[in-house]
Amino acid sequence: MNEQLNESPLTRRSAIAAAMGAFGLAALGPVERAVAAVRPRSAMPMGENFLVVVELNGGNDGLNMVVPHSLPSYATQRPTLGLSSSDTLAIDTGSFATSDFRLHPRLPALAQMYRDGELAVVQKVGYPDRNGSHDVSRQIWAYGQRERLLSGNGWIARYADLHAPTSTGAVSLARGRHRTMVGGDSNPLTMGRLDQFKFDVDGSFRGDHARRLELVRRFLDRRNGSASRDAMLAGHTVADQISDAVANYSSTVTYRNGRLSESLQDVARMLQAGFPTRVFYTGFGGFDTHAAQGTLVGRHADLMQTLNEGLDDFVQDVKAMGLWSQTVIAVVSEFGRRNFENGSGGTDHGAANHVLLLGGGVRGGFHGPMLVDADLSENNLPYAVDFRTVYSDVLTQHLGVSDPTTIFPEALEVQANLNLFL
Amino acid sequence: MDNRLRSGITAATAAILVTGCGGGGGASGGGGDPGDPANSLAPRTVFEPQDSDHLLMRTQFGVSSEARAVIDSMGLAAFVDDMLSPPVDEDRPFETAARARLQNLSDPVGLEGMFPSGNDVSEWWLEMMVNTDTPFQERFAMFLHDHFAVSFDGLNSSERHWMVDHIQKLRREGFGNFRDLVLEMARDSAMLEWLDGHSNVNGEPNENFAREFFELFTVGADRGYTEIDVQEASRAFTGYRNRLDAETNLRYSEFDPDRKDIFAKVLFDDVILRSNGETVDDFALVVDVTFEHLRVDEWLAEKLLLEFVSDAPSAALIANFAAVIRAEDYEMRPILRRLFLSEAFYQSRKSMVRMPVDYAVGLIRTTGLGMSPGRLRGELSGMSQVPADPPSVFGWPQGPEWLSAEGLVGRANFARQMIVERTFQRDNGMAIVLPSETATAEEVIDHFASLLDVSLTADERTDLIDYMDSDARNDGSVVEDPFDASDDGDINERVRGLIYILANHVDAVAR
Repeated sequence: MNEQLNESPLTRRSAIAAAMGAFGLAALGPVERAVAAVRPRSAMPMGENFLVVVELNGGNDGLNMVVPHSLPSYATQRPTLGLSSSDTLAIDTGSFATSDFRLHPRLPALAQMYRDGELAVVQKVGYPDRNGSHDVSRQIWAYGQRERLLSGNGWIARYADLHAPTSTGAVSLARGRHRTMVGGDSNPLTMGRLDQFKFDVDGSFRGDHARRLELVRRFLDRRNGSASRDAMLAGHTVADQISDAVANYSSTVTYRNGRLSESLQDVARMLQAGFPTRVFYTGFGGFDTHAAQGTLVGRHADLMQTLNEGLDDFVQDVKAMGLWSQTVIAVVSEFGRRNFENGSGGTDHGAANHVLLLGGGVRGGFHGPMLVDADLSENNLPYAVDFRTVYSDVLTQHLGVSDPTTIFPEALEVQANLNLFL
Repeated sequence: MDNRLRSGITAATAAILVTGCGGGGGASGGGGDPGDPANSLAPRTVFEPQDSDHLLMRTQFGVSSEARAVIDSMGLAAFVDDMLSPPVDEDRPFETAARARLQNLSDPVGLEGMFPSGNDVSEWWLEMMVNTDTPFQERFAMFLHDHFAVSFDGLNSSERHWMVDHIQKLRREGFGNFRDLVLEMARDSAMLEWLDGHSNVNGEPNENFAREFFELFTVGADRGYTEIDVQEASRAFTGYRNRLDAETNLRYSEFDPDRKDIFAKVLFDDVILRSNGETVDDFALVVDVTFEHLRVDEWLAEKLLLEFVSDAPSAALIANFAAVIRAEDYEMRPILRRLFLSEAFYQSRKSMVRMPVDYAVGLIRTTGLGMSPGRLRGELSGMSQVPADPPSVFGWPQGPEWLSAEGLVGRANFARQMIVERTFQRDNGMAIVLPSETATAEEVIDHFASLLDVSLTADERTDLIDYMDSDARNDGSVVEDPFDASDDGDINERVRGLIYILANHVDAVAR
């Protein structure tokens, strides 16, 4: 599979357009779009870029993930939680070598990716007027608009409406009906685990239930096209495709048992099956480490291991599929944690945080205004890059969106010139 | 009329409005375009049997044999009058039973039911929807809930009792005057918290509520108001704070004169709003001038038509219905009576998509099958519509937007859950009850197809008779085995299977 697919003149999007004939998807109603999503699959070449957002729910302690061990305030603010140079992983080789930062010891794969130039650290990412509520901060990140929390559309729903208006154009896995996906009329697909997206059976009468489903399908097939009929049939088709994707998936990579590994393997299954998905949203929780967060071992270390293993497994798989150059993974969290540790061996809610970007086309190294000691001497890391700038750069430079203000319309208080892509 | 038109109304709409008003504004006036019955609010003169089913599908969570019989005996007009006047008694058996869902073992003595979880609130209401004998009360409250969309999401344990109060207001006052309800909603604690009214303070106005007040609750986006009006209205909506009662540990909204902006505001270019002073809020002043100066009638007409008549109501129908709403001065009972007896309503049969709550509660009520309220909430979550938890202040998707792949797989899985719960029945453990005259496969099929408002083609009916008169084994073989209505095995396997197939028929998601 692989490199030659990248060279295919037919991109994923143009394949859809070709299959739809003269009609632009934007001109279609939601039902026709749902059907369009499934129709061109058999001829689907890989080739379009895609984004995978990994949400670390609860507020990840970015300072113990990417450790600023050379800044004196780090150790003074964190006398017991601070990680020392000798305990952490060096990233002082490769094109973006730095000895100012080191990585948490449970992130060996990420350290290697950094040394290989495939991992970018965007520093001090946040938004104006820090909000310490998990819920409000998640809303801010999900809607991408401060003005109308809970009332607007999620930013991925806005993206899907404009640029991927099919039932599998944007997909949420293991995050419930996430707010980034709410609103609009393209109905991004929301799933738990991929193998759970199916028609449940009546266990007492398996043979009879198979016959019931066959009749349901037969009746739909026979009926003339209508909005309801087409969408119901699309439900059957997408369920079949997902079931095929699960059954036919094969990989040389053995995924580990972590929560993120499981979700990202579902993403890999969909990629291998050729779904026209441009944005995947997934992640895992447990990052609200107010107490006993640990250092080299313990809660945060275990979370780092889950992150490292999930990303490692998935990146290996994507590389084996030949899709690495089309991949961007963004690792985000609703806020960082306090610069200083609290009295319970943990850290309270902070403000800005590091965002990680990984991908074949990502320019590795550190981005955004450099973290300095004065930043650490405050209570919270001040924000210097609006998260919408990071997403907007991904949208324009990776996903081919010409005008990101159609998705993030609010004027930003700070403008950062990032140079995230090769 | 013309002096009330504002810049947000287009010339074309205004022209239609003028035509629409021409018929007169009285309760018994015309107001319709006699040329097209689909746009006419004129009373339908003769009702057919299918009209009863249509009314039941749109207003009662679906058809039931009992409701059909009631309409047959009392007449459709009297039935509509009845459904618009549910008893005000709060202790009807289904209400009392459902209220137990709000209670938890950890509730302090004397405050039982005051600390519900979000799921408790959803299940409390779902249980009432399933068991009520006045379904339109709950169905109409769901419409209002979608209109004034507030969620328990964001309320903490000391505030969630506000969500119960909020839903009770919709249930009890929904058939009153809409202007009064808008004012009631503006002062509602859950609303004040949800749209930041509690943080809307003199000198530091928060525009969240004022913006949605115009855009969602009264007139619609950009229909005759400006950003300045949002700012001025937000100043007038100041004065409330969120307080903790230290004895009960419950939060409450309190009017605090220090937080109120008592200076005059100017709305709609030239309407000066003089404050009532420091002792009371000014909310009624904003509501009154909004109803007086903006086209609330049109917005309410459009919202009601989108809910009960058409996924895409025509401008002429909206204008005609807005005239009725004005003439009745926002009194919901006569407005709804007019709608549910109108030619336009009965012309729209089977043209709309059922929302998940209507679909699921309806299937349970119609078939007599069921599941626990907790299970029902879980299944509705799979269909993305849990009462008391709308996704945003915009409410839920509308009409065809419900037709998503995962949503329809969710409906199938709800129907599957309903048929596999073989010990749970809405009427407490009884087996499926077939009318005495139904014995053959054909009769059972026709009975349930009729109740679920599914029109079978000849081919489909033949396939279903074949299904009912044979047995599919787990090894995949099918053997001939005529349906026997007295055999519990056949009922449990095939009648339930038939209900599953019909629930997944394209007609079953339509209303």
